[in-house]
Amino acid sequence: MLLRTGVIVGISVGYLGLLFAVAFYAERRADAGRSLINNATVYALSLTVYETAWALYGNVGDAATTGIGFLGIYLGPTLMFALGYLVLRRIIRISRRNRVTSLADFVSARYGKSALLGGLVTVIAVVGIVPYISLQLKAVSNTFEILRRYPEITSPAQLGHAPLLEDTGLYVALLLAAFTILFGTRHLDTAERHEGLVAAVAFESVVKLVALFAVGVSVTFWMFHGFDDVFTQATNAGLGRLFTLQGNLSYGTWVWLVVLAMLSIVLLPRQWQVTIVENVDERHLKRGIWLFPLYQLTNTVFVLPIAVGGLLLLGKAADPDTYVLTLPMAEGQQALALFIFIGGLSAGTAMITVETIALSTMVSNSLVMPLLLRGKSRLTHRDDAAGLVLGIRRAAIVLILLLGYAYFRLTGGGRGLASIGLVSFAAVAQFAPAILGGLFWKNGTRWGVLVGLVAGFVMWAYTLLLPSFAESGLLPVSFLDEGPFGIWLLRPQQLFGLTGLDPVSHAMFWSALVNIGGYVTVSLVVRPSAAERAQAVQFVDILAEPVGERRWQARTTVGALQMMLERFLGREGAERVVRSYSGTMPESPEAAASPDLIHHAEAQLSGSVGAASARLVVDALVGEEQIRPDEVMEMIGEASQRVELIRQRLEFLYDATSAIGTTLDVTHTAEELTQAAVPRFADYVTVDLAEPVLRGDEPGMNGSVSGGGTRMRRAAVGGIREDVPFFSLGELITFVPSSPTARTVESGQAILVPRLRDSPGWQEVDQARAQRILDFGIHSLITAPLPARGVLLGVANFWRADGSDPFEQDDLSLAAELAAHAAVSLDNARRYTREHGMAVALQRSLLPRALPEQNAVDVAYRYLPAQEGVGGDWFDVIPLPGARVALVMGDVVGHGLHAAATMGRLRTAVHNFSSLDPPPDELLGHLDELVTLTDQEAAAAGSETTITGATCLYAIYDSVSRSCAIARAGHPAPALAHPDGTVEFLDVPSGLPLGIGGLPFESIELRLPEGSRLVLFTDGLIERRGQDIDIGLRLLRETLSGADQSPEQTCDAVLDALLPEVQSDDIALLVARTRVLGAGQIAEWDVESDPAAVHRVRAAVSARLVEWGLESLADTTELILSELITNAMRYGVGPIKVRLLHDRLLTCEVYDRSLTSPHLRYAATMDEGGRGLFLVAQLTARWGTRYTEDGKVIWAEQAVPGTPGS
Amino acid sequence: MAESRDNGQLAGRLAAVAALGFLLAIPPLLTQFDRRDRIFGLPVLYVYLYLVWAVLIGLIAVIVSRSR
Repeated sequence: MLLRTGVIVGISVGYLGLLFAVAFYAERRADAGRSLINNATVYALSLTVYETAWALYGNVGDAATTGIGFLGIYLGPTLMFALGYLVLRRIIRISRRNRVTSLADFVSARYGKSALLGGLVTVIAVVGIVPYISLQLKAVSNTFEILRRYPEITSPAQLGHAPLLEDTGLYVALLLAAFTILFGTRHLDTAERHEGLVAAVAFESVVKLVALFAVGVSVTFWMFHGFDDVFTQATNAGLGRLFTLQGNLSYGTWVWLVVLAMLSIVLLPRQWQVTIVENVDERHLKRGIWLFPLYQLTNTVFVLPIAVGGLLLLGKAADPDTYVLTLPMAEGQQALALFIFIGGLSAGTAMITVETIALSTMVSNSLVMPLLLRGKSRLTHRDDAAGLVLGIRRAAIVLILLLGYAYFRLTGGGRGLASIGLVSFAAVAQFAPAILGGLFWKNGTRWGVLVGLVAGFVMWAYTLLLPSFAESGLLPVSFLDEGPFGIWLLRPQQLFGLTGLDPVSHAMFWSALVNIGGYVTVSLVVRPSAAERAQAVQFVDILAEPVGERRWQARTTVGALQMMLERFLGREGAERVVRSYSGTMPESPEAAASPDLIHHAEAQLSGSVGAASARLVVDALVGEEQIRPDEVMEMIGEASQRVELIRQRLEFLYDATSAIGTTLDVTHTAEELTQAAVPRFADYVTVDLAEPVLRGDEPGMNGSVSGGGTRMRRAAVGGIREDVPFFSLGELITFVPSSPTARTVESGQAILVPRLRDSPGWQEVDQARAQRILDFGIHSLITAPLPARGVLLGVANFWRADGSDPFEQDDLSLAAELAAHAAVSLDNARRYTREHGMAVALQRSLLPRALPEQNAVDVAYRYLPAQEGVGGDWFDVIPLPGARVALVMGDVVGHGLHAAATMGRLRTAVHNFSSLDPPPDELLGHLDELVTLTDQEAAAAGSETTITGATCLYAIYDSVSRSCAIARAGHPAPALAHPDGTVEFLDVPSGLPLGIGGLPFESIELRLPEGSRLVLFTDGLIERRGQDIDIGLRLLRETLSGADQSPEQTCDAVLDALLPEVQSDDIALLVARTRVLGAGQIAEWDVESDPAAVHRVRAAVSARLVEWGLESLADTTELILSELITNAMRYGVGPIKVRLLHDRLLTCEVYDRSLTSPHLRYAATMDEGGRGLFLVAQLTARWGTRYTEDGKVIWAEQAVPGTPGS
Repeated sequence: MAESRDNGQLAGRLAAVAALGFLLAIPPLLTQFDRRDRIFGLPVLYVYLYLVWAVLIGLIAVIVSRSR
């Protein structure tokens, strides 16, 4: 015989061992990374932990008494699962994000992480679920007892009350406790996942389905001849009432059943565990929501036939709750009976295991640990906290099962399985307002939940739990019939006289009323704390996020990643990041981004927005962090706005700084600052500079005035309008110490005045003007210092007027930056101004200030220094004896002070050489030698600047002979404008520039008509960048030709025609119009070498002087001439000639053929001769010797009385 | 973003199925079939409830499978 106790126990234990093996295998697979439960079907099957032993046995019992009404419990879950995407997905996502691992945790987390609520939910769940667990124990132990009495068919009532130690229920409870502990608390998992458990549940779900299906088929088709037969016989036997709701169940109760089942499928702790906590992938839900209902449909389709069959075949002989088992037993189908027993054991075991694990998690995490932590128990300081938690859980499991057993033993089992189950359903339904309300209603508060839950729970206990105690004799029956203490109104099942409802509907009505009522009312009255509000928003809005399931496990697409990067880095930046990725890049934007790529993107992004932000953003994108998408969007928006703002500012700064400093002019630079900042940054800008800065000097402390404060001059004013009553340009402003300007000067920091109206310091500078400025609409100011090299040049004031926002703190740095840049430009301009001024001053000091008096030529000149600095151009007009004049024009290479200084040296040298009166080529030779020597010295001293390369032109014009000798050293040939209007460039041999050496210079000599204009110039006049030199020469020729003009007019005309717009080189121009000394002003005598001739010449000279009106000079002139002639006769050779020139001076010249130069000596007292030249030197203004082609000339000049300058 | 719209649409359709199911499973529609008559040898309400149930499951399965 199969159905012996030993066999039954053996097979049962063997089956439990098999479940354990399945679980073990599943966990091994999970550890190996090939999870068995990461499968939608396994997930759907694990949900069938809903089908407990009650489903196997109790449904039939229920159907046998109330007919088809039992189905309500099964339609509910289907409806709820249809809403799954609205409710379940939301809960799953919240739990995942918040690491919520139990129902109690969820409620606590939703309402501001309240430990009190978590504990309360745990208590309610444990109390509410205990009857349910007892129901499983009862089912398992009863069926065991019935089965082992085979072939006798026993009803549970006949089993009687066994002594405690002989009670199967106790051993079942202990066995299952051990099993559960082994299953669920071997180790801790932070996600509270139990892969093995889920696999075992999925496995046993098949067992129980097949078992019940087998019994159903056996009853319907073996014991009866199909459905038709069963139902026909039932109708005939008067069981037709079971086919309707009417007469068995009120519609109200039916609806309540549906609703209760809807809630229970979510809120039962074990369902929460498998549906939410054990969920691996959100997408599994999609199969679960139709596969699970399909399972239920299959599972229940035979319930009614079995119930009817049992009633027909067994009737009262067996408890309807056991028909599923007793029918096969009655038919002698031992194997089937054993199979269905195993199915029931399986269902009960699965339910108890999952339920107690879920409850123990709640007890340890939400009840015991918070208490321990709050009490600062020494237990929590143990090293082995995990062991402590596991210990608490194991104890909780044993405790809960023993409680279940106690309930079972105390209530005895007078009631049907189904009604006990409904008690638990009603208990967990109390969580509905807190959880579902919390999901959809932000305003639900902790206090609302607390009040609602407590009230609902109390109402549940009073109207359902206590009556179940009363029915089982634990409380007097009068408690039900007459109410406690005989208070009729408080009868638990007709509370406040509410009648006409079955007990479940009655209890549900009252508990729902107080629960929902309390929750809503208190929530509306009490203000939620900040933490609560934050949590509420997070929970309620979780589905508002635009994320799909893909984002779950750090998954995102390449496209999405790239888009995110673009938001922060711009298109190019994003492409750079992608290009820099070393791994292979998926082709399509739809492709999933590898974790490597995501990491790469984050690393790159963190360079831009900081590590924390990058982490947040990427986490948000891949959906791993608890952050709401609208927050992310906001963050991204803020960040990109910020980036955009910074980009705009950089752009502005770039534009502004490139617009400032285009010239080297202080005032102009200040104006550029005002133009750059208006209107993009400020409406008006004013610039005040220290006085010395405007002059180009170093700014010193002289800006400060006695008594503190600062005095500065307004250098620039600019703005969107012109008529602002600011201090006007050039005004000297005294800033009082309390004014923003003075404070900026003192601190060196930019100062923000967001509201000028509130700045007494600013107004104090000029009360009336301040009022006018305010009235004009200007409201806010930033004063920024203009610092350069540690000194302050002045301040820039940025103003904003009506129509613009006031300046903010953020603008301060931008203003300071802009001002700092402008200050550098200002300082450059200032220093340039200074150096330029110095060079120009030097050059001017070296150039002739006024030309010397001479009558040989009319002279006009122009000197124009180059804009970028002074150059080395020079010119000179040197009067030479004998009514002659030397014209010099030279050009030193380069610009600046060095060129100016070199020019000064060369000019002095030319001056000195000219006093020796050599011909031009000789003079240039001396000069060339000088330059070569100087450069050699300079090179020896290590200097790199040289003079070599300087050019020079030297011309001597004799106004008596009209001859002009010219030589040049690399200098442009002069132009000659004849009096008749023709112009030629004189063909003077070019010669090499000075310092090169080599060939000697050559002079040409030409005879100029009176009134010829000799035009000397430097290359700056005719050379132009990008223009042939011939064009300049032609232009010059055209300008000079034509009407005879004075030198001054000529200079003007030439510059008008030839002055370039941008003068890159300096220009020197010298125009000399020749004069001729009239014949009446010249007197010549040939003197024969005879002392008597001296006398004759003296007489002639005297007569001529009288003729010229120079009688006063007659004596001295006679004396001079007789001395010179005597000398010439004594030392000289050849014919002697005497010439008198009456010009500005009276010049006496004595020619002879000797080349011996006389020299002045101091004669001794007793010397007879040797006094002549001494005498001459005493009598004349100037005397000297010069050499001619065929001899020498000794000349002496005397001032003509009445002539200015003499 | 399309994904989220898809999900929202899915949730909406499923909620509609739930509403339909609830409507069919409660009076007054339910009452119309709450008779002792039998059809094809089966009780009318038995047939009705299982038919409603099967249709609901079928609708859910179709809707879910069509959503990507």
